[in-house]
Amino acid sequence: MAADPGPDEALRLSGITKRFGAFTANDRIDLGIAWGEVHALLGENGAGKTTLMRIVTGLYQPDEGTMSLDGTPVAFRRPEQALRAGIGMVHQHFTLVPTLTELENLAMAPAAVPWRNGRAAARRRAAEVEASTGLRIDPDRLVADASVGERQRLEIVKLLCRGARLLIFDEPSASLSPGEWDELAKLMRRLAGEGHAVVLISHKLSEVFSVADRWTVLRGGAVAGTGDIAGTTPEHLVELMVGESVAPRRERTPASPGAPTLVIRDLSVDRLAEVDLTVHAGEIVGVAGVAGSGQAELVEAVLGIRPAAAGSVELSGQRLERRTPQAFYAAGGALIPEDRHHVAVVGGMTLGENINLRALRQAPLARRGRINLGAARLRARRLMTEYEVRATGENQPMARLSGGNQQKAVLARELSTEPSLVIAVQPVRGLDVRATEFVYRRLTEHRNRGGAVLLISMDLDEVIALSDRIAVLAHGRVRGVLDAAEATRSRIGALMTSSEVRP
Amino acid sequence: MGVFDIAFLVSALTIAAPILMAATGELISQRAGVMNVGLEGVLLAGAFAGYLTMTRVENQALGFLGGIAGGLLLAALMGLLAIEVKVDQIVAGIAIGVLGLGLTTFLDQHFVPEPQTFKPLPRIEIPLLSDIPVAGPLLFDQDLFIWATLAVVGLAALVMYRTTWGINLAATGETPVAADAAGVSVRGLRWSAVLVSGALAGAAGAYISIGDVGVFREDMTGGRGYLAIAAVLFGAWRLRGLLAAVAIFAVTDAVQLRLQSMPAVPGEIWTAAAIAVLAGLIVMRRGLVVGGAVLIALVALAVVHPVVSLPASLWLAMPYVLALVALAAGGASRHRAPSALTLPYVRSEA
Amino acid sequence: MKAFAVRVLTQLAVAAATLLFAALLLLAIGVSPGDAATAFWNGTFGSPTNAGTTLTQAVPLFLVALGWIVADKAGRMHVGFPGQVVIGGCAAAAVGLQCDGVPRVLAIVACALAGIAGGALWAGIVAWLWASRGVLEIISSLLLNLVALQVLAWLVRGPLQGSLDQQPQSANFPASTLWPAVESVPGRTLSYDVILLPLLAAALIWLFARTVFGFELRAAGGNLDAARWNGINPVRMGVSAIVISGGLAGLAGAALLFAGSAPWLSEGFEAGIGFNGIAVALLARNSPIGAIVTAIVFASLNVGGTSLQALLDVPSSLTSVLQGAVIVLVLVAAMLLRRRRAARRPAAPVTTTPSTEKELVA
Repeated sequence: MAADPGPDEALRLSGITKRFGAFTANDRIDLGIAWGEVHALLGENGAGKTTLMRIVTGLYQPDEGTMSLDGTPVAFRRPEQALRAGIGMVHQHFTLVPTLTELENLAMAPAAVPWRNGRAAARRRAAEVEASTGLRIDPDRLVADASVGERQRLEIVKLLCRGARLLIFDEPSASLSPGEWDELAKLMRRLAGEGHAVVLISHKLSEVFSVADRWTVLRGGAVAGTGDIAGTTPEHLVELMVGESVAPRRERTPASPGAPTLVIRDLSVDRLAEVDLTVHAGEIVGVAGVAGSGQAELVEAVLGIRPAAAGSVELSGQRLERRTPQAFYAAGGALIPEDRHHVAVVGGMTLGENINLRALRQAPLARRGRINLGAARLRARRLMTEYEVRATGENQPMARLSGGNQQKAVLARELSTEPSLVIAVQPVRGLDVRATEFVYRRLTEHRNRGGAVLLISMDLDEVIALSDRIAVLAHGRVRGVLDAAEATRSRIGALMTSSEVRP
Repeated sequence: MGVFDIAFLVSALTIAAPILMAATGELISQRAGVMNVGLEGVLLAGAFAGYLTMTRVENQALGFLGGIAGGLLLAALMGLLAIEVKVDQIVAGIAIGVLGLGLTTFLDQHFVPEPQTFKPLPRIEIPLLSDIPVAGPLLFDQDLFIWATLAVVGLAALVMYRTTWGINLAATGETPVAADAAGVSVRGLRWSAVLVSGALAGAAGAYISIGDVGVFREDMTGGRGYLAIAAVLFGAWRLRGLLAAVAIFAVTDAVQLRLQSMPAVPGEIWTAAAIAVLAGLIVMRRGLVVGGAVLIALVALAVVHPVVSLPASLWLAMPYVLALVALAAGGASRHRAPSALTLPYVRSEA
Repeated sequence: MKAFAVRVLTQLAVAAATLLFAALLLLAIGVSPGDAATAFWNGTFGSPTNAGTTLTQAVPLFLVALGWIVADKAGRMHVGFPGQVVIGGCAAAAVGLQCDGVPRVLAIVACALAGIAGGALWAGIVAWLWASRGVLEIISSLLLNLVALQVLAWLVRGPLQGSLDQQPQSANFPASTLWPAVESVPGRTLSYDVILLPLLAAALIWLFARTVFGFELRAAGGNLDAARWNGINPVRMGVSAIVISGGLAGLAGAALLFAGSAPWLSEGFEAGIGFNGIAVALLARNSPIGAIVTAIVFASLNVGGTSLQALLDVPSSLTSVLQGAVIVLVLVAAMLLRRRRAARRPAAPVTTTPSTEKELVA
């Protein structure tokens, strides 16, 4: 394999091992990254990418192994040291302060003397970066007012201002529109062309093949392979990532839509404007769009968390007059929310209580305000088996379960009531392949049984793979609804960017 | 005899100074994400430590240093609980409050069984300037602490809004992950913020005991710590708002002090309150219905001028009631609270 | 089982550390800890009379602790107990003073209900400010405590002042309002209200484990947003919890007056019960059964502190120092315990829900 980066080597990891108790997150990892290249780091969730990058950026210390930068051995005990050595990371969740201006975010730095004011210096450095890379920021704008793409740009400028030469991008496209991604890809190439080293963490092969020079795949904490992009194929990389050749995509039975289950008319909520959307029984309708296109507003308005300015919502033939979560569930709705920790599970309560979070409060588990504990226990155990929730028992605190098992518990809660409509928002975020497959199977089964599913996702591939019809949401409006047969990445991408003009 | 004379303004300033000093510290601490609900206990610690030092060395400068040390001690405990042990800040604050009251009372009973009284801080009369009508006695015939308070507030404004440290402070309270990623030590910054607040509260406490009245009594801070916290909240975590809030509380307190000694409420109170409500309505542009009704009632009272007298204790409750009303009226401002307020920072979640 | 043993050991370690701290304080002021221990034991449990006093004093502490537990389970950490005890006591006293000649059962029930209503009403202000104005309950309750003290000061000098002298206190309560005491204990120091200890503890456990209301309360406290997204009205839960906790504190106020040693309303009758009740709950780690034990421990600190002062001239404020120290030690112990568990289970993801959410109260 042409894995040796040669004399231009920037960072060399040899035999890096990191253990957490009995669990080995990184197992004797060897990795070389060269100046002037874009290096793709691939792997599934839990493959050890995050741990490895935390070691590189000084958040963790390795148990074994050595790192060298430009041939000199280095050991970072704190992120500041990695930063000073020129290693910077663009996190998936930006490390920006929304209440400060862009300039102030740049000026944020350890202050040697309390009375120093770094604003002027930061402005100068931003101008220098702009001169060399063309990256332009708006210094006096509040970060809260900047778009996702603009924030990402600021994040990059911030690292360059601090003298970062090796930049790590953690899943940078997650919240970008296709157009914004193209911009970023161009920028990565330019940075590499100027002699920077760029590491791209991703599991989207299309992105990797469009920008990277070399690749490394991690699996189960160890290096599964490394090489030049030119000498490989997407199939080969997937095989390395998953460890087995993936089964061909399941053939989907054609949808047999029935009566309309969810009818949204003219719904306007905050940035969401005049949304019309219908989901029939027995079909999956996907909502595609980049993050922040109005997905949260849509879900919260239908659920009744966020008051709508105008429009109506009909569920199972009932018009939800006074929208409240209670009314939504009573009419046969169910919801798998995106933000599991904040809105779906109560970490301090037990698994059983979380599974029965709604069932426990009505007949047959509760009568006249009193709970039948025995029946509740039985129901929780039955659903744990049925939904393959792995736990020590129904009394295990929810917070002790892994993310995948928590999600399965949420799935058990939402699907067990035989709802007429399931709203699923990013239902596989943070899950591994097996758990993802499980969730997809359950949603499809629900649709095959005649249930309606509204699937909201920022992952275009997921939407295309599961949906019978796809609505494209951009800047708070539905730009078009496509049938699964005619939906391709490029058509959806075109609709997403069809009207970038914002009032 | 009028209510609003120069002596009134001077007393308002004297009341305001320690609250303002403590509130400035609490503001800095809260901007860093640490809420010390036990500020009252820290004030008491400062008051007692200052007094204790005075009983031993009888030197006001050392007394204030002692007060600062006392405040630092309890603030350090708060920092230990909130930043290192990462316990719930509210509960930790309760502990600090209980401990502050208990310790100062216990130590006072033991170390200073016979109460002693000292001369309060001398007023510094600046020649010529102090002869200016109204402003003269108000500004140029004050004790050193009032000046120190003004200096501290000015310095705080500079540090918070004009230095990198101020940016780091805001970042630590708002998005500690971002501060950490930028190499700013969240722990270090929170510690320094908590200690600064402890030092300021200690100095304020010392002023309450040895600076103003020259004696220490059990629980003598009388809720000023709570008022300071209320001022931070009402001021929407901005220094300017804080100043306005402290001014309102201090004027109310001065009014009630004055009214306690009067047989009936003089008419000018109603006029003044009406003007205050009107100003509040103009600034806030909200609550026009309720505010308008209150305004009309106050104007009517000012015109009719009935003989109203309230018992002293109800006057004493006035500043607290007003603080509550202010918080209720400024309800929307809570959205401007630092996002990471009361949340311990755990790096691995980054 | 092992976890339980660790917990008990931790509690014992906290108790030992507190005792050590107390011993050091005593040595610092020149009192032999041995003498102090003897005096302390005699003063608290050494005789049926003193034991009765200790148990009876535990009741108001316990009631406040239950109030904290209810509010804390719902995620509403208010600290308005001193104010609620005071206002509850004032309301109960106001009713009690009118109860001359009323049948005993009726008078007692009326006073207790008045206490509950007074405390609940005072807590209702906190609840209203939180629910509709978004005022942090901790700060509004602190301010209301100060207001309550002034209301009490006014009442005992004005409307409720006894007519006989100019002392700032009310007249003695009519005999019919006083809560019955066990006759066989000399000095009749053991009030029958100690049966509230097991009764209310059981009731609260039942409420949390077996009722929909208790379940929703816990869910709202555990994760306010998740509760709301699952059709629970967290505002209703928060308000109910604050009001119930106020009611319990108000009842504590009535118990202080009608089952205490001084059957009249005076300025200092609250005697730090409000804050110490919180410490009682914290020490019991929010367990109602545990709160029975810790309430008795705290009551013995109070009673024993008084006898230490009488016999050995130890400042009575030693008690409050110890109570503050206990809270700190409990907090630290709880956190060390959690760290230990976390260290042993590294792979488990730690999900923390913000303890004080910046919730949007819609």
